[in-house]
Parts: sequence; structure tokens; C-alpha cells
Amino acid sequence: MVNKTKINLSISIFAILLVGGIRDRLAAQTQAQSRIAIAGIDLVKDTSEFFISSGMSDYNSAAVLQQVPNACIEFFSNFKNFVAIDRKNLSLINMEKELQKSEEFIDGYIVDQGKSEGVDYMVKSLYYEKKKNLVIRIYDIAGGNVKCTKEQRLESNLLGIKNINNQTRLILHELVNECFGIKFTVLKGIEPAGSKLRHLTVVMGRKSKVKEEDQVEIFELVEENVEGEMLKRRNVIGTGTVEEVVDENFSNVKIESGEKVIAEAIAKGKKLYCTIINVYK
Amino acid sequence: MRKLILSFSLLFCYSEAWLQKAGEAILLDTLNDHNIYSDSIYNCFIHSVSNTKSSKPFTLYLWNSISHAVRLEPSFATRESPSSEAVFIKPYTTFMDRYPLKLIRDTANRIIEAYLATSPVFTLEIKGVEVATSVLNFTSKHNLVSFPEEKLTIPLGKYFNADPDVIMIRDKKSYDKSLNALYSDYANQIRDLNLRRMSYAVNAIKYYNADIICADQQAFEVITEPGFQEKSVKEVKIKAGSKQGIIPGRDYACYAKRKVGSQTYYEHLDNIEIKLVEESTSVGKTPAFSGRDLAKSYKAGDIIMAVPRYDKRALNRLNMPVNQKAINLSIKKECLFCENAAQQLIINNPILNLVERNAPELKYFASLLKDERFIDYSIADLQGRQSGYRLLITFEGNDVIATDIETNRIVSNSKVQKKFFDISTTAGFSVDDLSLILSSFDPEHFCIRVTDVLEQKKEKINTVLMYNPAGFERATKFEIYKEESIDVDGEKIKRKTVIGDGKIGKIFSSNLAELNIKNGESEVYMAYSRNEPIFVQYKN
Repeated sequence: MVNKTKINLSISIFAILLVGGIRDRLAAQTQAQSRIAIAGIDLVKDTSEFFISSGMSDYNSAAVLQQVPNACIEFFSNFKNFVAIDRKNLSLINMEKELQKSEEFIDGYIVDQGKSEGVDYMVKSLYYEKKKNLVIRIYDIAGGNVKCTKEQRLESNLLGIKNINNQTRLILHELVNECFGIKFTVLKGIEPAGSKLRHLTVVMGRKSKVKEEDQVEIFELVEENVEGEMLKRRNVIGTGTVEEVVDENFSNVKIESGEKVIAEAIAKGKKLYCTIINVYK
Repeated sequence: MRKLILSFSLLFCYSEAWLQKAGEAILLDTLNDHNIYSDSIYNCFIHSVSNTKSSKPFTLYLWNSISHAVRLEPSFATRESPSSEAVFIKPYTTFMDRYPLKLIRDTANRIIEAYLATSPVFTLEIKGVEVATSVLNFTSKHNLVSFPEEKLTIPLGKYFNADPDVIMIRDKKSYDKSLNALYSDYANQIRDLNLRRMSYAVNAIKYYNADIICADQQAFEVITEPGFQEKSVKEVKIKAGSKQGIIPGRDYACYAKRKVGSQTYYEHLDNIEIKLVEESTSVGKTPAFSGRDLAKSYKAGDIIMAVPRYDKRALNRLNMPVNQKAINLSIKKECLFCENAAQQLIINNPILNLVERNAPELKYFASLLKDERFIDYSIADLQGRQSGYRLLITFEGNDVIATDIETNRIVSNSKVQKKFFDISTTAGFSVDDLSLILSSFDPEHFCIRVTDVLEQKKEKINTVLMYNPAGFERATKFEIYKEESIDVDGEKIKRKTVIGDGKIGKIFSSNLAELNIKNGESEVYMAYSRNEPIFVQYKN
């Protein structure tokens, strides 16, 4: 009888540990992704200087106001490292959830209540109409501070601002690199020609919001001893262009410069990385 | 005690049988047009609805689509009944008193012809919403009468002493004066033309009443004759009659149960019109020169079902895949009749339920279900069954955004702008957008998959059967790929290797279609014979 109790007790402890382990593992998996919400965009009309609003500036502003938040949503939704949270339709969602609490739904279909997810970060944009400057900021919700910010003049021509979606995507790539240190690992070199390499396979695909003809910087991380402190320095060894986005996770990059150095680094088994430095406009 | 329970049960059964069924509410929008033509059409519609035979009771309401006000049509004032479905009808016409003046010019810019271009259109938009659940049952838009442009030729010199376009630029007042004179001279002719065309519209709306009111939703079994030897079937006997609500004159379509690979579906054979109705059977007739497909199925001993011809719900239920999880979704929109094309696409899919949240009028009908006046109706089971939705679809410019309302997560984002021969064109919300939403939301239950190999020659697979929860469009291209896991810095990352591609051929049902493989037949065979899992995705 005592033995049976002991066996039961040990099974229970094992089960608790197993469940705990699985939960921790799941938690670890979900922790890898940051929850990010995309807020709207504010328009700053520069009134400090003499400035008459032309039809073209209004047209530009309307395009930026409509497209930048959507470009941010497009960038962060289904991005490998992020979970995009909808805050634009919050009132509608809350209304629906409240509605589902009523007795009219007692035998009907309802969603689980209390499962709404909070956010770690918030993306907010500003557009300075006169200077055509777009500012994108990422706010850290827990710290209550601006985690990083990027301001860039949007390129335009006679027809208006050139490809807003791609220009926004470039700013966001630079931001996530600076803010979260997101860089893409070089998996292997392909098509070697003598001592040079022509192509690389990189772990960045549709889920990393990379598109064909995007330009990348290829680098290695070098550790430097600065007064006893080990600091990592980015050593750029080449550049390239995304030739083919193979799938959600991989792309082929055509090396534009540094073929020889890159080939040597790969041969020595060094870890190489890429970041987006320019996109097709 | 047993006797007591038995008598209570019997009493309950009797009372259930005695109770009347809830009917249908027909809401006619009285807002848009208020001219002589539309008023005549309304009157005709109301008269026609009042005289339509239906298996279900129905009540006609006059409705204002902007204020959402609902009031009983006077002739129904004393016979209101509770409704299980609300059918919203929005008719609008483009009968005009001033049709545009068109000028046809030659290469030297001289006017060679001048006429008033009359091209009226009479349109009906219809939406049926289930009162108990707020789920959209059907939505349709009919250009009932779209007349070809008719030229009312005019003697231009009588009204304009020079080129009208030049006069318009130089002297707008004089131009307007001449134009007004032209329209007043031709008012009677335009009116006669509109009245003549209106009579067609009135006839058309009479024809559509039957479909609106008598959408039966049910499928019935066809009684086949063993040893049938004829070349075609003239009369079809159905295992349902007046008891089941079948009414003479209704159109039904006959479908045969077929098997393809490991899946079953219903294939269309012939249409029939009900001619004779008895208590539990009825007889329908096939149109002239048809009935051959039915004859083949009779001889083969297939299971044949008759489903309402204009209502896809019954057919959808027949084709509903076994064990497929259904999902409730809603579209963010400004009005009841907005985003019609997207709604149509969702409704045609048996596994999706579209919840309508732009119809506050439903509250009125939901309250009727609790009304003491209708104690004789069997409406208790219609209460407390309202449906919530899980996914919210938002259209913003060219973007389609889907949000999981349980967690507030953005499930997917796609562009409705598609590439056609490398030129971006703005297309509507399509099946591939829907597929992306579903597969991103729950890849396990809503992924596209190959279910069977249909055609195989030597060491090549030429045709496979595909299942897509979102549905299929003809000639869509798909890629077949394998997946392998690669270890990158301790993380397992999946890598796709495309082994073939193909095009959709025959579509069996809303979720089943064949894929004709164009490239990589041998590679697909190799993977299949090695039992390697193969996957499919849309080809960009």
C-alpha cells in the first residue's frame, strides 16, 4: 500500500515536472518573438516658415498618411521575430467581445475571453509635410521610453513620392537592425569560381520581408579588446544584391564586391552575416 | 410513473407538431429611388410578393437602409409573424429624365452623329441574414434588366448653331438653355422609352420573387428507377412533397454523388422544374433536350440529390468536407451592401460562416422571437444562438488585413494588387488572399494539400487531387515542394525545394480540384513513391 502511494507520488511529480518543462519550452519559444503594435501616423504641417501648401504636397501627405501605417503592418505581420498586434481596430474588437458576453450568445459561437495579448513595443510615425521627412519611432512599453528612432527624407519626383512602401521598408529594416540587432546568417557560398564566390545562400526570406533587388552588406563580427572589455565590431567585407527570394526563410544573394574575401572567410569557417542597406525604389 | 413520463412525452410531441415554424422577413429598401418608375416597381414588387406561394410564412417590411428603420408594409399589418431569416432587398434604377448627349466625330473632328444615349439599368441587391445567428446566408447582385444603349437621334442644328462643345466653353448659359430646350422637347419620348423598359423590369422582379422568398435550403433525394433504359430522363421523382415545403414551379438542380480518389463530391447533372406535388413525393420535369446526364446516372445507380437551383447553401452542405473545422469571420465595412464581392466569395465556401454586424435591424427580429404574441410558434430553439466571429477582415486601400480577435494578433496582410504580365493591376479580394488568411491563422487545419494521385503513367505523376479550404479558381498555378529542416546556429529552419508545378484543371467542388502537373512529373513521382511528404503553394 505504501509502495503504491510512493509510485503514485513519483508519477505525479514527474508529470508536474514534464508539464512545467513543456510550458517553459513553449514560453521560451514564444519569448523569441516580440509583440509589436502599429499606431497611426501624425502629420506635421510646418507653419514656422512661410509655406503655401501646394496641391502636390497635399497629394503626397495623403499618400504617406494612408500607406505608411499599412507598410508597417505589412512589415511586422508574419515577420520571423515579431507578432503584430492590431490596435487600429481595438474599439471594434472590444465591442465584439462585449457583445459575445451577452445572453444572446449563450448557445452560440464565442471566442475565448481574456486572451488578448499586450505589446512589448509600439511603432509610431510622423510625417513632416514640408521637408518630406518621415520619422518612425519604436517605443518600449515596459520602459516607457523611445527605444530607437529613424528620420529619413522621402525621395520624390514630379509624380510624387517614389514607392512609399519600399522606402518605409528600408527605414524599418534599419530600425530593427539597430533596435533588436536583427541580422541574417550566411548559410553557405554557392557557384565558386576559382578563389572567388559569386553567390551566397542567406537565412532571410519572405518572413524577413526581403525582396528581390534589395542590396545587402556582408560582414563578420570581430571581437575587440577595449581596456579589458570585449566589444563586437562589424567588419564589412562585401556587398551584394538579393537575386532570388527562395522561400519564407532563404534567399540567394549575388555578390557585388568582396568576392575573394568572402570566399576566404567562408573557407576558414567564419560566421558571416547580412543586413539590408538599400531597397529597390 | 412511466405512464406519466410517456404521456408528457406524447404531449410534448403533439405540441411540437402543432407549433408553427418561423418564417421569413422581407425588407424592401424604400430609400434610393423616388420617381414614377421606381414607385411602380415597388408597387409591383409588393403586389407580387403578396401573391407569391411559399412554403414558409413571410412578412413584408418597408425599410430605410440609412436610418435602419423597419415598419410593416400596410397590407401585412395584421399578419406579422416571427422570422428566422431577414432578407434585405435594395432595388435601384438608373432610369433618367436627362440621358447624356453624345456626339460622334470623324477624323477631322466634324460631328457626324448626335443622339441621347439611353442605357437604363435596373439592379437588385439581395442579402439574407439568419436572425438567430446573424450569419449571412446569401448575398447576390442582379442586373435584372441591363438594356443595350438605344440612340434617340436628334436634329442638332435645331438646338445648337455651332459645335456644342465649343459653345459650352465660350457661353455656358447659352449652352444650358439649348440643352434644356432639347430635353423638354424629348421629355415625352424619354418617358415613353423608360415606361416601355420599366415593364420589362417589372416582369423581371416578378420572376425573382420566387427565388428570394422560397429559397428552400434543403436537398432532397431523387427516387431512381431500377432497370432504367431510356436515353434521357423526362420526369424526376423526388422523395419530398408538400409536407417538406415543395411548391410547384420551383427550380431544382439534380446532383449525383461521385467519388474522386478518397474524396466524395456532388456533380451537376440536369435542372428540373417541379410540376406535381403530393404529400410526400413530387415530380419535376427536365427542360427539352436535356436529361441525358440524369439517364446515365439512373443506369449507373448513383445517389442523386435535388437541391434548390439558385441557393448554394444546400449544395454547400452536401459538399462540406468531413471533419473540417468551420470558422466564423466578419468584414469591417461601412454599410450592409458594401464589400459585396468579398462577401460573395466567403459565402460560397462551405467551411466559412460570415457574421453580419452591419444590420442593427436584426435586433427587431430577434425581439420578435421573444414576443408573447407568437407563443404558437416553435421559436425557442432560435434564441441564445447568436454567433460571434474569430477573424476580422479589414480592407485598407490595397491591403487586406486579417485580425484574430481572440488575441488581437494580425494574422496576415496581403495586397489585392496583383501582377498580370508584370503589370500591377488592382484586382479584388480573391481566393488566394483567403487562402493566405486561413493558412496563416491555423496552418494545421486550413492548409492546401494533395490528397490523392489521380493519374500516373510509368514513373511520372501527371494529375493529383488537391484540397484547398479557401476554394479554387480555374487555371490557377501551384507549385509542389518538399521541405527539409536545416540547422542554423542551433535553430531548425525549414527550407522548401520546389520539385514541380501545375495548373488547376477540373474543379469538382468548392474545395476539391485536380492539379495537372506541367513540370517535374518524375520528381513528384519519386517523392511520392518514397513516402516523402509533398506540399503545395500558390505560384507567384
